Amino acid sequence: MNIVIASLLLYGAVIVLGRIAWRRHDGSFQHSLDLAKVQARLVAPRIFFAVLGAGFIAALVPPELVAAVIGHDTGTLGLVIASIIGAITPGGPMLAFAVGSAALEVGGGTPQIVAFVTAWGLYNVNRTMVWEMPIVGRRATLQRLAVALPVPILLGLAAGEIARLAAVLG
Amino acid sequence: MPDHPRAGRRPKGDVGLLVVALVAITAGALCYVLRGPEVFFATFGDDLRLLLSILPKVLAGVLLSGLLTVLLPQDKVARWMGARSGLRGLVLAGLAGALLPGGPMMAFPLTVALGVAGADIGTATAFIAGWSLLNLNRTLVWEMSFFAHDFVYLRYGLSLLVPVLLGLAARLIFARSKAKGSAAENEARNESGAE
Repeated sequence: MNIVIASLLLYGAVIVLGRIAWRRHDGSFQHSLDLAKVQARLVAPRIFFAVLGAGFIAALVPPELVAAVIGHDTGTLGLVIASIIGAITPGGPMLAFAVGSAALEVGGGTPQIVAFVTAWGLYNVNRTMVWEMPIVGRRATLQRLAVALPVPILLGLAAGEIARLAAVLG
Repeated sequence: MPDHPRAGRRPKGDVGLLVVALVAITAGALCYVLRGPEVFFATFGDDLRLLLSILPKVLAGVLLSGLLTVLLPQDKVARWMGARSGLRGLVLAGLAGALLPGGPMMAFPLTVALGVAGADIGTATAFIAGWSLLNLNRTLVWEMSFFAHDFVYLRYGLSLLVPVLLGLAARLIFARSKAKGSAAENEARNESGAE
């Protein structure tokens, strides 16, 4: 059901924007199709290997280990560890999300995975070194990182509070 | 590397793919050897099913990102946003980060363009945070494909205010950029005065 809604939203947006581009009659439509093709070629092999890799890793890693390191009961230390793992996870969103969802399935706690995804987004080391530092500059990058530092932990703590509240109410 | 920032538009490019492929193949081989063929093929089947279910969304995602790239030219967005400041500038920057499609090769050059157009460290921070935590394209295509939707709503909801808060924090802490920010404010005032 939910997956249908997400797809409808996506394709609805594609149709609306596609119409706007089409009506311009200036090659915008064709240009965006070309861009989409380039991106699809870039992304397709990555998704393939990311999904396979995450699946196999989930089958390999003992669930008890995942639960012990980043499970529900690991508290703030688990949040810190999950944030560090998020920071050092290389690659694009498919790999990070594949790893995160696999970890959830084999015993990772929701707050910990919220911290993982947030840290991957805010201060992924690989992306910061390869893209942000050289393009944006060292100083601005470090300033941004400094204010972002506690956010994954804070969001993880908030997620934990919400889960606790939901458990009490539910 | 910092000496020639623009050298090589895709510095990691296929090295990234190579790493992901190597990890997948190694994990697959280990899985076959350590867990046995049965687990290997069961996992492989699950993965293929997941891939099939993701496929239509990925197609929509690349179409959407192509369309948005053409319809919202980066230089225009940068010029338009760079001149706004104050709280409104932060909200708009976070929003732009959430809406504009594209990977780091889009986001970081656009951040530079924002700075050139007069944005301060707060706006830049809000933009990058919006892009990295709230990007709609990424969430609709990737995050919702992999995670249960409850999880996505929780994470996304918790992150909603983060770009503005981080932008405010960056603005308050790093005073040097405050001067720049007020310069942008003056510009914005002049602009609105001219209207």
